[in-house]
Amino acid sequence: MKNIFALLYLFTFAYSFSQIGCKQQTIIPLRTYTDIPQDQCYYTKDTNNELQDYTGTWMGTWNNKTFYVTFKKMTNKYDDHFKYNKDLLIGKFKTLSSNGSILFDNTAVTDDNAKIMDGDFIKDENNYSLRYFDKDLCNNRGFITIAFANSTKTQLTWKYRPRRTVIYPDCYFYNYSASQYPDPLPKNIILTKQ
Amino acid sequence: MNHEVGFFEKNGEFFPTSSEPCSNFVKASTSLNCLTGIMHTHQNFDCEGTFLEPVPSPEDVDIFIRIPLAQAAQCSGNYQDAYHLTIASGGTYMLNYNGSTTPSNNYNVQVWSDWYESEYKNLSDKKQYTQNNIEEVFAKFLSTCIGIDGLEVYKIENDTATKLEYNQSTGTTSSTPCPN
Repeated sequence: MKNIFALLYLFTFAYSFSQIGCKQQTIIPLRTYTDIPQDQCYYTKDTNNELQDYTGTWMGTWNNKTFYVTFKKMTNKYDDHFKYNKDLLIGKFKTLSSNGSILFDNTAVTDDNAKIMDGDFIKDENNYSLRYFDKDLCNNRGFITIAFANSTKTQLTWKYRPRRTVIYPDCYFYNYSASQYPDPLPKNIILTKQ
Repeated sequence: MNHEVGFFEKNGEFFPTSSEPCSNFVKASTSLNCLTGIMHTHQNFDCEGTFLEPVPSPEDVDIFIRIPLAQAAQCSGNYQDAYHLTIASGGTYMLNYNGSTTPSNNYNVQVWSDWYESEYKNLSDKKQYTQNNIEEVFAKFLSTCIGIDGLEVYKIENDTATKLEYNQSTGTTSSTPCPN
């Protein structure tokens, strides 16, 4: 009986705080920059299919390291912060040293745990912005923007802007020198589609 | 300036501190005894030219609760002695606590950071990144995301201070001048 109540509670909770109860969604364009009503069955959809060309694996090199990032398009995904559904890109990456050893690899994490997420087009630009958050690196984080670098869409401009992160003594690199701090993502690079 | 600078206050004495140049990592201090005050700068841009939030960060709030508030409770027994100042181009912001009991530290800074980064990214994506909007989001952050009764933020300009408060029922932020 306890389990039934727990399931009922979970269902009620999910129903109340998501849009799974929507019989019909109000579809609006991905590039919408006005406030969207929360939990009222809105869906910002990639009606022009702009996100598809970003999907797949991209590669580039910097500081003798090789960087692979794979973007995946998620559709009709509930945004639990702004509380509406949206189409967006998420990213997973792998960074290798010059001798091929793996420095960072999160390609096997689930989509819900992707470290590159929260994608949106920037208003009046062709830049797509994403957020990076890495709890495995003591909450290292920053913002990423990507944009196609050529008309055939085989090259991508990647810019990463790290954010200030406070590290505590329980962080594994707290006692490292600044030059030894983890550096998983390139700052400015051109990526090539694989 | 390519790094943050600041001072700690311990027992009425001030000790300088600074972060590593051009590093996005800042080490929290380990010597905490009677450290009741923190003042630090947020530079406008990092070494890549990225504009930084000119208001306190989630970690600033966390540090205020973990260190000055806890130390004030131990050393003077008065939470009002604890403060955290963030000095930025758009203003100076002071965190204070007027509660009478120690706030719970049963919170998750990652959840705070997620909330904070989502809101500021949204402002930036929509090109609504004005000082006024940034302050409003911070007041909303304190009220709706952190939600600790008695935790307050004041904006200090010249010799005046205004209390920034978010009203959850109206969804608006107000600025109330402090009495002189």
